[in-house]
Amino acid sequence: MPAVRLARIPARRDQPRHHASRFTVMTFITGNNLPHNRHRFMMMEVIGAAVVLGILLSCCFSMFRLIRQMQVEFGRRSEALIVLDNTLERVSGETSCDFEQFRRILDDEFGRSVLSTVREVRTVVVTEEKHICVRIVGTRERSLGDIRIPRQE
Amino acid sequence: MAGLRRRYMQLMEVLVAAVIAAGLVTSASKILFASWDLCRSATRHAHLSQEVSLIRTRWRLFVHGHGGEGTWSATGNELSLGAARVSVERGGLVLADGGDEKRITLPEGMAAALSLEQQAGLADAAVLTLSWERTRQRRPDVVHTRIVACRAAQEGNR
Repeated sequence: MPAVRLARIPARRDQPRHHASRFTVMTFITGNNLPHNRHRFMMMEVIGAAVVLGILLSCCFSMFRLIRQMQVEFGRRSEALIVLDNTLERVSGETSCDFEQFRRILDDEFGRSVLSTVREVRTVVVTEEKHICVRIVGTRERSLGDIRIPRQE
Repeated sequence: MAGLRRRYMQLMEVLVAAVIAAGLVTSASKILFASWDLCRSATRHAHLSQEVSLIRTRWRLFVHGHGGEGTWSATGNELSLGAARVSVERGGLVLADGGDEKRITLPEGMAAALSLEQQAGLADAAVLTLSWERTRQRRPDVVHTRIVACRAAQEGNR
């Protein structure tokens, strides 16, 4: 595909009428049929165009990579929510659930999910005064989902 | 026309132009296919997430409402929850309680499996596993979603 550009051609009195159009597309590779003011791209223009094209393409591909990463992140978030939801469902099915039992259920649910195959993802359980805070964290300690349940004495 | 000097491209120029054009076309087609793939997978993921959410709600409501009494057992694709029965039939989930029978139609391409988990020291859990195929970066992958439902006897814990 030849590069094209719009060039303004000044009208001259000694030329036929059709050569006096204000704008004409001139090509670099195929040459043109204008007998005057012939213009070719300078090296700097070609390099500039290539650099701009390269920047645009790299922006495009990096955006795609970013979107893919976001997709993976959202998939992990929804998986983490399912793990926490299943944990809550199983905890609510117990007559009495102490911390050890809760931890066992959480580890069991986490072990059955696909998140357990991801090295960066892990569960964090923090015992507070009145609550147990459960978080599933991903890369760079970013929280994928968390729940807080009341602590049973 | 007087003064006209036409020039044909040299072989090297043609080759360079062809290489550049091929590179541009490849990049453009890659961007096009990646966009198409991304949009399709995102739409499908959003659709299936909604479907899974609805199925989860209905599945849990049924187990909580009908599985409180009696023993639970699993045989193949069928789960007996006391008097109630859940089975997987022809791309759907059949929830039966006596004469009353409800059917949850699964989305196209989604499969379901039923199982019963009984662990010592923990309450029984009826598990509905939904699975479907997805294509990520042109690699087929199977997604499994586990939906657990327990007896609703201990409402105080909820």
